[in-house]
Amino acid sequence: MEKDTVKKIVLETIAEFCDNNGIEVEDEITSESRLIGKSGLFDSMDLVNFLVDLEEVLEDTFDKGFTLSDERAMSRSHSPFMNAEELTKFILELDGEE
Amino acid sequence: MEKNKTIFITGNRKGIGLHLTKYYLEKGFNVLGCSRENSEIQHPNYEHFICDVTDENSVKETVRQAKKRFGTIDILINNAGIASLNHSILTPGSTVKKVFETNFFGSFFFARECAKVMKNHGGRIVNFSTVAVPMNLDGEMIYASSKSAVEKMTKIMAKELASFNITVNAVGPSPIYTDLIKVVPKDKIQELLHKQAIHRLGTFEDLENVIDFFISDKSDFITGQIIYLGGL
Repeated sequence: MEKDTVKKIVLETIAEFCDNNGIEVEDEITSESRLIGKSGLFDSMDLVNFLVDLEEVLEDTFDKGFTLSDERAMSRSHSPFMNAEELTKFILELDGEE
Repeated sequence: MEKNKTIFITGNRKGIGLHLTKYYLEKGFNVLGCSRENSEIQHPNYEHFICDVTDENSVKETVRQAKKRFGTIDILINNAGIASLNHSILTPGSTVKKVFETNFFGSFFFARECAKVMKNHGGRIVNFSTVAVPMNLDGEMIYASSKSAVEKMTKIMAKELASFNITVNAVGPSPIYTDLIKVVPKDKIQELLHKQAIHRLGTFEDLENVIDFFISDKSDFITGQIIYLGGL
């Protein structure tokens, strides 16, 4: 899996999710845009829904299963869901562990 | 009843699962099933998956393949389960693990993965409890405890999935004559039946009736409920 391809999928899925769920985005969404936290785009339920959508897009694209909500993701002090850059790294990490 | 919907029935090679598979195929549903071994069911609207419900990755892959082939899953009937009868003092840890892995973890894995598929169009999840939970039957500590966990899962998932128009309910059958209870001594069964308001064994038809109610389109306001057969 190429990093640029995964990042593109992540960014497109974020944009589509915001669009479908009426989440207002003031600036262009970049790989550094915060997804969670005080200034993040998503509240906790948005994040749950977004991760399910993203798993589905990844599974359809790469034809294999992904589990983005595994224990490591939940227990890290630095969340892999912080922004598209971190999320991309985490997806590549999961893929590399297969 | 809504024809052409797709139902996934876990643990359907025999017993209640097999009966429900035939029943819903006759009603015109597409039925998907799974077990650890091949199924003998041959029907144009049936597809069988080999899956160990205790294996998270196996469940995830099964649901993914089901979705890939059939586009969606509208209804999940979380039937796969095993029983264990023993005094708690004589129950080995390995039995506790096995029963919980099948009855609770298996039901959870399937409910979680199917909920992801149902998220955008709604759905119905029907779990299996047992009358052994409210009856607190001695000798059934592990089985009843695992089903008690299924009941709690049912009630909490019902809240968490309500916004996706997914209902989550459970049926608690009284004893029905299947492989699961054929090892139970007859006097134990009689004793149990006397604790019910209606003193008879349950039938497959009794069970169909409750599941039909839960999965009906009209039941979109029914969630987080446990219905026991026989009157408890």
